[in-house]
Amino acid sequence: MATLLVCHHSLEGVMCGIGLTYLAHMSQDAVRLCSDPSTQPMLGERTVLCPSPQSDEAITLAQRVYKGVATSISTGCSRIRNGSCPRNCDSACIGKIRYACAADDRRMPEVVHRFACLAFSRGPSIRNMPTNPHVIALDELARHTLNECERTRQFMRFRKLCNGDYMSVFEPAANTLPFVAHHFAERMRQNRFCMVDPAHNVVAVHKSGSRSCSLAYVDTQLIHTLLDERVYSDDDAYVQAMWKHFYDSLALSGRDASQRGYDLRAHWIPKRLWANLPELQD
Amino acid sequence: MDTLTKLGILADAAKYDAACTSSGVERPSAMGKVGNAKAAGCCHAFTPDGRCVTLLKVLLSNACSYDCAYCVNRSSASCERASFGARELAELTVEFYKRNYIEGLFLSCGVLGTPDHTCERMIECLRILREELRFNGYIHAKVIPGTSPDLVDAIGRLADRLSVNLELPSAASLTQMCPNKTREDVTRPMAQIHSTRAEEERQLVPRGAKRQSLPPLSLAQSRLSKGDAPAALYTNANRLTTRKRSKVAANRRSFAPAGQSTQLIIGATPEDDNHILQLSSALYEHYDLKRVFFSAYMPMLQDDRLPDPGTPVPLRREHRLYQADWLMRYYAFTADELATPAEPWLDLDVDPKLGWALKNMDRFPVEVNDAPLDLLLRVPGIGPVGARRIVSARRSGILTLDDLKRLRITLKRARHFVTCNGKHDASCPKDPEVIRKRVMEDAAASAYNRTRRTISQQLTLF
Repeated sequence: MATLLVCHHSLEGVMCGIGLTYLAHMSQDAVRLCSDPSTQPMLGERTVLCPSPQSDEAITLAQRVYKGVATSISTGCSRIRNGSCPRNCDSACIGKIRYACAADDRRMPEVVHRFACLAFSRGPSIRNMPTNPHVIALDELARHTLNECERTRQFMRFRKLCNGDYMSVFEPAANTLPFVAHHFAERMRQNRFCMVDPAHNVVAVHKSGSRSCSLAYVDTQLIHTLLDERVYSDDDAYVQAMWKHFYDSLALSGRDASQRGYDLRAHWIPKRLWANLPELQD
Repeated sequence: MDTLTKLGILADAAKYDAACTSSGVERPSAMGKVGNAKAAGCCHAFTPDGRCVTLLKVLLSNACSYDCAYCVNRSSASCERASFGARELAELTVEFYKRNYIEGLFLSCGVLGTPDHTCERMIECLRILREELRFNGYIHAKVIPGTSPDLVDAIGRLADRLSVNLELPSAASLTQMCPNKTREDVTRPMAQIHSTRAEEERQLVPRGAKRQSLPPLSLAQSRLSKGDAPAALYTNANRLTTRKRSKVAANRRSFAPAGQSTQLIIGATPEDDNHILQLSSALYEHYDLKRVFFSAYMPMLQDDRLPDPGTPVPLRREHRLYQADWLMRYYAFTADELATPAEPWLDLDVDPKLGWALKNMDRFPVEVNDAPLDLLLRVPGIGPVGARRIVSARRSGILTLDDLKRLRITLKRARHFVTCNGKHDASCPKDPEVIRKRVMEDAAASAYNRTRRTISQQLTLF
């Protein structure tokens, strides 16, 4: 019987869902994954809800599936050293599944499901199938998340609080904080700071001197509390004003939109992020 | 004068310097230090015309005593003058850095009496930034032409990248426009930076080890053919340059680890594109520059030696020169292939790669399933990442035009010049003039050219 399997929109949720399909000996063609409970099932399809990915059993199953996919893909790769993949292959091989699962796209669960099935059936030869539709679909999601990670690194802006800590609020179009938190931990190693993503209910907190951040998924109420109780330092507004003044001074007449026909800023900075940037406020 | 006002004046004074990168050195964070440096750099903002803002780009002072004709800060100009204190600018840099506004500092300065005095002031600022404030991020420092060798050495120990701006593409133009500078003043520091870096490399490479060069394209091709790992989704294109690369990692160097660059002003003097490209090529070769930047001259000054203030800014020409520069660095084109002495100007209507392809149709079509990497790179619409994807993908089977599209090749251009398993796209013309006409029609329909035509018509009416 055709089945619509509703899983949590995360790496753990999707891996758990894929594991359940194999445990239930379901034909690949008879099941499709989604993360939105309101998804309309097709004619003849039944809807099944996956268990919460927070349970120990679900996490164990998810880890087992992820490891199985990783082994299938990477077997025989000449770059593996001591059983580990090199860092610079991170997004080329199994790592791209993690990036794809972070995308906000509602097609993600089924895309990852199809890719995982292909990996189990074709094994390491999947590495040489860049034009396969399932590989392309996964690559697109992973590339979207990678691009959004880069935008997070570029356009996340911090403000100084009255106690000397720093805080940033940023709403990316993918769950990027788990991937970029280390970047900011390295960059601001001596400072205490907090990064809040209200879109994905994720908070990253950094202690002074640490090489990494602590990540937590929190509820909406806590997010609101964090944002409402912010008190900025006395000089923070002045530093923001200086940055905006500096930015405004960079404009060159004769090269602007009236001469080109379009504003190149919108090409490089999506307009959905402009509200976060003090230099683009009026 | 408060810091806010100074910042506006000195940022405005520095904006004509086109250098805009924070790349070239990977330096991890360290205990007790602020920040780090990433090899790929990071653009934190973009101006309305698309220029990347990655560094706090300012002059330490615009009270210049030189009188270069093209410069808004020249001594005879009646602009407002300001100067930062050394500590003031250093602290501002750290404040901006912590808020993720910038990757570091780009520091230049008007000539304060003498080049040496100017450089000493800059060194003081950088010393406070590096040693007292413990800043570990990126610093790009300008070297004033005529600076003494010991000061060039000192500033190179504090900065990641150094640059000495040529500004003018010939000695004759330099003499005409810059009465205070000589060609020697400009080239001597460039030569010193190059030789100091080369000497440091010799000391750091283990005795007996060969100095590694980036393999030529044919060797890169063979590595791709033997490898079994898929191409990464996110490639640092800086690594795909065809220029020689040192065996010594940038983060092991203590002097200008990110190398040096320079800038040429386009349109202020009569040198043609062939001359400029030949000069760029020679600079890359002789001084091992990382980048040559081009800055379109903006006519704002009334001077008989310069174009009239109403002259349009040569944006398209600047763009074509950047494209040509990229072709020389990533695609192994030579300067003479792009603009010859007989035809010394780049075509403004089509990009240089397409222009070269249209003049060399005997080299096409290229069969994508067996062409070597260097030939794939010559196809308009196939870039260094796309070419490597094709080589990787064809290991698993014969590629079709649909496969090329899935590999994100710009087929709108490439399909005129390639075959897939011997088959050419039947809808594409083969005559070079028809291809050129079709490409130019596409370009004429672009938003940029529609606006240019509208502006030109408005000027004609008045």
